[in-house]
Amino acid sequence: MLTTNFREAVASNHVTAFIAELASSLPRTLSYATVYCTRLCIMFVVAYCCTFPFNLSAQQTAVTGPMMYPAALESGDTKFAVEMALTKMPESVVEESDTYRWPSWTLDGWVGLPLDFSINGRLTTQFINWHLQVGPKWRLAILDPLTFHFGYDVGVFVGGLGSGAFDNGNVSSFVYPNMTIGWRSSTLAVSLKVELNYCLSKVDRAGTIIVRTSKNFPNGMTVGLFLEQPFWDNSNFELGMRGSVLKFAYQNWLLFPTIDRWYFIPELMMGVRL
Amino acid sequence: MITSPTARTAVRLFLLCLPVLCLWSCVESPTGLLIPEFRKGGSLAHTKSLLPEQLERLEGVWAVDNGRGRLGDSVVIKISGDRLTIYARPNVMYVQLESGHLDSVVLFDGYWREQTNSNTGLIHLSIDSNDGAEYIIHGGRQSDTIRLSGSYGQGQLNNTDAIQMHWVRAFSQQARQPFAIIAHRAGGRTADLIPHSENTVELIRIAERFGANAVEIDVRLSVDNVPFLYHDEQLNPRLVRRGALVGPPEDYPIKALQFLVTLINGERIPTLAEALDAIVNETNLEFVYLDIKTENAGLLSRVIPLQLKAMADARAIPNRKPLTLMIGIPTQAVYDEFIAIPEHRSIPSIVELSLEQAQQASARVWAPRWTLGTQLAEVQQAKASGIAAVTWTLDDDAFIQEYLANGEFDGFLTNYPTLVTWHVYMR
Amino acid sequence: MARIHALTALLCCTLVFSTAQARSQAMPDTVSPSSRYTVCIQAAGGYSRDFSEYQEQRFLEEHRDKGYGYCQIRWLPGHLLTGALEVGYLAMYSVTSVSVGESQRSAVPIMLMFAMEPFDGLELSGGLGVALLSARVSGAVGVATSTSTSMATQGALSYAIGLTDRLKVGAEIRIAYLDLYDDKIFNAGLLFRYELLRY
Repeated sequence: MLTTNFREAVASNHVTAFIAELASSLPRTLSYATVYCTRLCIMFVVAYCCTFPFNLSAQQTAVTGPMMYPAALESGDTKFAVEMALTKMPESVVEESDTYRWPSWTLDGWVGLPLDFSINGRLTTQFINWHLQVGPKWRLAILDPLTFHFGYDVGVFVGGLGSGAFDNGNVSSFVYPNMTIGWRSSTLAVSLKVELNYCLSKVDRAGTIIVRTSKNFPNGMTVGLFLEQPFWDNSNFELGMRGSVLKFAYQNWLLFPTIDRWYFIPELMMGVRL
Repeated sequence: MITSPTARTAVRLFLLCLPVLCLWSCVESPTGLLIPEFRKGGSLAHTKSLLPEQLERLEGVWAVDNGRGRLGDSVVIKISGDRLTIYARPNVMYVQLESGHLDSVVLFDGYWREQTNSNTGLIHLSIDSNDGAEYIIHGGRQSDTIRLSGSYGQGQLNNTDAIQMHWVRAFSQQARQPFAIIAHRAGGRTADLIPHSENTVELIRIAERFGANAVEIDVRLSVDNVPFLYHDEQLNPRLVRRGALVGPPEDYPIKALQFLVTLINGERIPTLAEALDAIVNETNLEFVYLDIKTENAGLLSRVIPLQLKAMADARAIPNRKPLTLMIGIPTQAVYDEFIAIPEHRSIPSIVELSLEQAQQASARVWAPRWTLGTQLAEVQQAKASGIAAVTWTLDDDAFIQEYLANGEFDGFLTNYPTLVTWHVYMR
Repeated sequence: MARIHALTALLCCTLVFSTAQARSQAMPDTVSPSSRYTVCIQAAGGYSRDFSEYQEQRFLEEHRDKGYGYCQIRWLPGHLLTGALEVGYLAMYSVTSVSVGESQRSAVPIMLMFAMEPFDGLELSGGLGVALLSARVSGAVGVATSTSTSMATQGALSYAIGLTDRLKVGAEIRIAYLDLYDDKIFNAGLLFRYELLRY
């Protein structure tokens, strides 16, 4: 829905207008949430039933050190890590703003659940960008030393910049079906993570105006390779590189709105388990 | 057969890395899009060029019969600079054509481009003698039907998709009213993969081909006090190729900037004097928005003499459209410096601050940011006090339509002058 | 650029992976670290070559063969990995022309490095950080300088032997990548590592 000239239509401040716009999309969001939860349940029930015999015979590896590696996590156990990533945004779409060059920082947390399920949450910030990604993961260890994680995350992005003549904001939501394949030795864990990216909604605000809303578009995918090793005590160090082919990379929300092209975005990251 | 465990794991890892490596090698080059060209002169090699008065017979609103997926339902055809341009709405599409006639057939060769993405290709069109070519070439009574037909393709291909359209009407009186279509940074952002780098003489020369009748250019001051054109605060890879200089361009003398810096599409950084010379002598642009990018003391005192000289030079050229150059005032600091100049009331200026400040500075134009809305009451108030109003930087299709329908601005500053042209001439 | 970047990363990953494998056979349990932490200081310097692609232009002189140097504080927490904080200097590129004079580029990288010693003496390291870039023009147009800041990544391979219980001497090769202008610099030089503290 395109809302024109909020200043005159709403005769209120932009925060009210922005909330009004978001509220109008609430039914749609709820409908997606229902569909999402249903799909999620079906996916895990089917997957679990199909692989139950393998689970019984699989060798369960009791490594909890690594973060990206699909390690076993006892029900109720938690683990946390901090990660720093450098993202190389395409030069052709970036403007003079240097914010896209800042490293992003991620707090990564896991909570173990029964039946090899776990919940993974990642809060990433680049100071003017905030992205929260949360979703369940299910671990499958049928081909030791290979183990798998299947996940289905939802993500919410909020970005805002008020500087000089600029007063812009963006709120977007995504789903990220993902799979991780992990291999480990006693000194090294290697994980390959493939993640699809589907944008549910994207709302851009400029000043008092909701500029544009987009919804329901396939937004590409990300492939990442992560190496993890013990660093000190039981803390692990992670070195990763990730490549994304995306239309809308949320780090670039400020400069994105009028361009409709696919971009490759490489990232290099380092992390430490806390 | 690999037997060593180390070698085996290395091979495994290599295989794991392959997908990432494949993706990595697809990193997009920041340089501009390659616009295709017909080889050996295309179909126009042996034709006689159409004169401007012949091309004018094609101007108007056309309905698309075949090719609506690419062009939409209606297009605008208009002479723009030295080209005939077709303006379409979807994906900010435009077609630039050169023309000629052979016996009683009118032929057009050119390229099309969608500005929101990287799609471009060749296009060939013609008007047969039965479809109005006689009227286009010889004039007289307007033909009942004028029909353009031909084909276009992606890249160097030109005949993969058919295209056909017919003339519907001339431009309305409303469409012919003066309206400033101001090309941002002399023609658009480098990010839009425009043919030349932003803020260059090369782009200024072709700005009219995109429907613009005005340009906005960004002015900075070198360390040896020469005004030059450059947008960003830093010499960065978005705008320049890697070279011997880093950091803010204003830290260097102009000679170093012009000799050691190459812009992303191969041009050099122009001085303001060079840019104004091109505007005056090589274009028919009517209005130039000199955006003062820094609060560097002394910039205004060096820009104003160049501004006044360029306007005088333009007046001295016979048949040239009147040219007004305006000092853009984006910040309070520049405003304070401007009103401290004793004769500032006689210097054409464009104030981006409040309407009251525009009135106090005796600005010719008030330029609020578009995100503040149509501001109908303020715009009417400005006009009542003899100040025109333009808004910046309006690129959104729906809001261009909205602001033309319900606003009263005298012009838009835009990265997409072709899209604004479509909306203006569809009225 | 991207391919070189990718190949460098791939090389590093392959080496880390394969050498870790080899090490794992010799050190089956690194999850139980020694209780000893070590702090070292490392200094190195030598030859530097800027192999970035520059704009095509003819100059009277163009120099890409320069020098580099750095100093690291290193922390060895008992496993295979070492963490290090590094400050260095990279002379990168200079050109001389008649109309402008001489212009030079250099960088001061400040890096967080991680290193691993899979075999005795052989060490592989990589890290991220920032680099303070600077340029200086001098000659016909007077003197002008400017600076900028870039993110940086770096990979290195070194081999060192012990001269005394605490002092090691060795040689290294490094590749640095400075993000802002896609600068790529190769270094080769000598290093000295001295163990300051064990606790």
